[in-house]
Amino acid sequence: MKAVRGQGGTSVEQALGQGGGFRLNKRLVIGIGVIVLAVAYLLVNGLRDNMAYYLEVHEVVDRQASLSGQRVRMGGNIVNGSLISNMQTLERSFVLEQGGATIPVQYTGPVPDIFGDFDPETNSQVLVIVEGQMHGDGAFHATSLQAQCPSRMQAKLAAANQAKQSGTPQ
Amino acid sequence: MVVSDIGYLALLLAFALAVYSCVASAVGARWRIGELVTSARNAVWANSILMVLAAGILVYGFLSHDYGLQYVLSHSNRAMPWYYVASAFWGGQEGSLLYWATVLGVFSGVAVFLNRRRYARLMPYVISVLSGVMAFFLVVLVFVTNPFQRMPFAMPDGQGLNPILQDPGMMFHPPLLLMGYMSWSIPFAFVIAALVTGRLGMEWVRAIRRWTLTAWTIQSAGLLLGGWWAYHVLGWGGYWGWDPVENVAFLPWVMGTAFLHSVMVVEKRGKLKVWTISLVIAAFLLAIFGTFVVRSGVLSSVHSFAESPIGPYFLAFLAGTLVLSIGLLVYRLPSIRDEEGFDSLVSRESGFLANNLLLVGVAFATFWGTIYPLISEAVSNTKLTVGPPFYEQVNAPLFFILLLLMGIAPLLAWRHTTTAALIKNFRIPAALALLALVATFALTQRIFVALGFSGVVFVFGTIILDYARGVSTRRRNTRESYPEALSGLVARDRARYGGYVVHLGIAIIAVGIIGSSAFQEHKDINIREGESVTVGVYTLTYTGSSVERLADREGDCSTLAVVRDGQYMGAVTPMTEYFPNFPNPSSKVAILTTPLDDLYVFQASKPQDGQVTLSIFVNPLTVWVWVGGSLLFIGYIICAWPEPRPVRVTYGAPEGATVSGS
Repeated sequence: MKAVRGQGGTSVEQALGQGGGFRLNKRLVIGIGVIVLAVAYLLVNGLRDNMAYYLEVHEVVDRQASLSGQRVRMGGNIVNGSLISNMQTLERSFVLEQGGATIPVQYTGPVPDIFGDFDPETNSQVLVIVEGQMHGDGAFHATSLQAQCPSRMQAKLAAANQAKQSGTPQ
Repeated sequence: MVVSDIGYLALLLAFALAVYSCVASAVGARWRIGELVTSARNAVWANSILMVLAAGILVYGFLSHDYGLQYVLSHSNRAMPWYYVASAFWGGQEGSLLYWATVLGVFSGVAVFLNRRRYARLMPYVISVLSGVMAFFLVVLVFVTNPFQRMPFAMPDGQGLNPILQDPGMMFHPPLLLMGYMSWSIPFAFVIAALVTGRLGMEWVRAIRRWTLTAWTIQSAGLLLGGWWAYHVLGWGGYWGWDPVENVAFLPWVMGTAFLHSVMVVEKRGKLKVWTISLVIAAFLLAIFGTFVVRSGVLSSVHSFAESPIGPYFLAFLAGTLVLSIGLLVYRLPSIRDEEGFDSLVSRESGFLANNLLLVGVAFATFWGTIYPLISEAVSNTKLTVGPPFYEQVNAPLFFILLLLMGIAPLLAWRHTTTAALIKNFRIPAALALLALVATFALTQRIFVALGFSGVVFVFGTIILDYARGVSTRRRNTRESYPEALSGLVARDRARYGGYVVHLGIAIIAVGIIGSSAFQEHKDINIREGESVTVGVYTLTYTGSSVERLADREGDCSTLAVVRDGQYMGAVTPMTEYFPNFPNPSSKVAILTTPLDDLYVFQASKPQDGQVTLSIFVNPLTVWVWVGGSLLFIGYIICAWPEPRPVRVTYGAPEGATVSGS
């Protein structure tokens, strides 16, 4: 089944050498190089433009000054009784707590079904993950909000669910 | 002893047989002991039966509501309809790994049976590799996450399955996706066998052709169904969110796509062998990685690797397989001979090479973004993440070039295409594409959208032109009718013309993706009864709410009258459902589909005091994603259809010879 070699090869370029794989000629190497560089360029640019810090609440508190203008994602629990919702405007404000540190958060938009503060009935606390920026007023302005339930299986599904729900608000 | 214990015994026995078969087959082949190889082969078949038995017993456990079985207890209950009870089989980690191993058992049995009189030198090692993979999964099933684990006492009722999984999409999406992952084991086994024996000619390529086509199609179906499920259930208005779990499912598919193209260069031109072998190995490893990530959800943090009980086993298996495969490949490198260098940059093989580099680029970027949080956390102790915009920004340009390549491919000949021939073939499709570019740009004022649509037109143009050329040539030579000429043409080169159908499917999917991502309109709103809201061409009026009671759930619905461009379209009723066993409600999205757009209404909070909060989306052209998806399947049937005998007899006959195929 070997293909006939060299037949009609008037335009065969000088082979550059023989790696274990296949022989290349100069123009081919240039072509491959262009594609590889283009992919690398897109990748580096993409990372630079879309990177966000994933921090704990206390880290955000500690590094508040250096984080202004940075996209940050952080997770924590809602402090009991701190949630204020305006159903007409879909505005919500609450205080996020984790490891003793707290930050006030503001968010406008629909929230997942499981969003809320401590639910005594199921004895569970919902983990809330917000993405956004710290503003000068000391409040975190979230542009997306996810919620995870504590049980393992549920948590995974909700994570998949909410990660999408928040997606990219346009 | 209860029935489920038989399941566990079956797994235990299967484990012993898999280990035996893995060792015996390789030893038998190495020292030429035929009886050993034969016994190993029989062990593979015995394992197929044992795995089906074990799976059957778990299904029985579900259907007979055996709540002494921990897995059944935590994934089903009596209120669920029987079909969701049965499909709860793959609702959790233990069951889906058992499913994986069962399908591997069946596929291995079939592969060994179909090739029982072929590839005599390769098969012992194929058996050995398949049994090795099987042994790994059985170690996990027997010693780590036993699906037949019993409770100290039986419970009266189970805990039920998460409501969002009780959906038709979830009955078929996980098994297809997992089967798609699994089916890369067979090509992988053949490739390893070829490397071990040093028989690196065309045998392995021929042996795995249909298996890889099948693996690719099953995976495509699994991905599409996953998107369909997410679209109908999750309520965020889209079907693909570049979530880590989606990404790891996407990776083996991308590698498989690259492989299906590069293998043609191996077949037709004897080039790119090392590359192609590497793609099979990569696809298999990514499939194992995907299975692991989907099942354990470890990507949230490096620490969760240690927390997941199956984590260390999968990591060890991945590392071992990687080292072994690369070691073998390097060892055989000197004996893998490719044909002479490329004749020309303007040739089909160069097109395939570019396609491969781009696809691997997509895979690399996606992989990198997915594991980026882990890497950054491990390296700098600061976790960095990237969201969907990263994947869109990096992959969209690569996909666009791939789309153009898809259009150019039919115009390129193997070895070398003269510029004159290229221009001659290029003229009409390029003119059409240019026309489309101008028209869509004038219409939308969006240059990237216009480029995308013109790319689609270009693909359609070249493929239809190629079909038309083939048909008219045949008609000139054979005086057949149009349908006869078309079916004769396809029968002569199924891989080519079936592949084109797949390309058309991908182009149609591209239409859906461009439309729904570029022109989506979205409004979140809280409205009162009697009020109206307008999103795009749709106006919705909230007419009232109602409560629906079913056997196992209760639903709060709101009803909205829909008017599109002044024309009444009917009513939609999004719903929030409550299941007694689950604290959190789940939502049923209401979708109104037209060829031009989908109206997508998600009830973000249940109706209360005469008002309701809704997320309303208008998703243009989304239906074409599913339409294009079904073309992939038709293309597969054409490619994989067994060649009818008369065609095989006249194979290689000069153009114009009578072909009595079909």
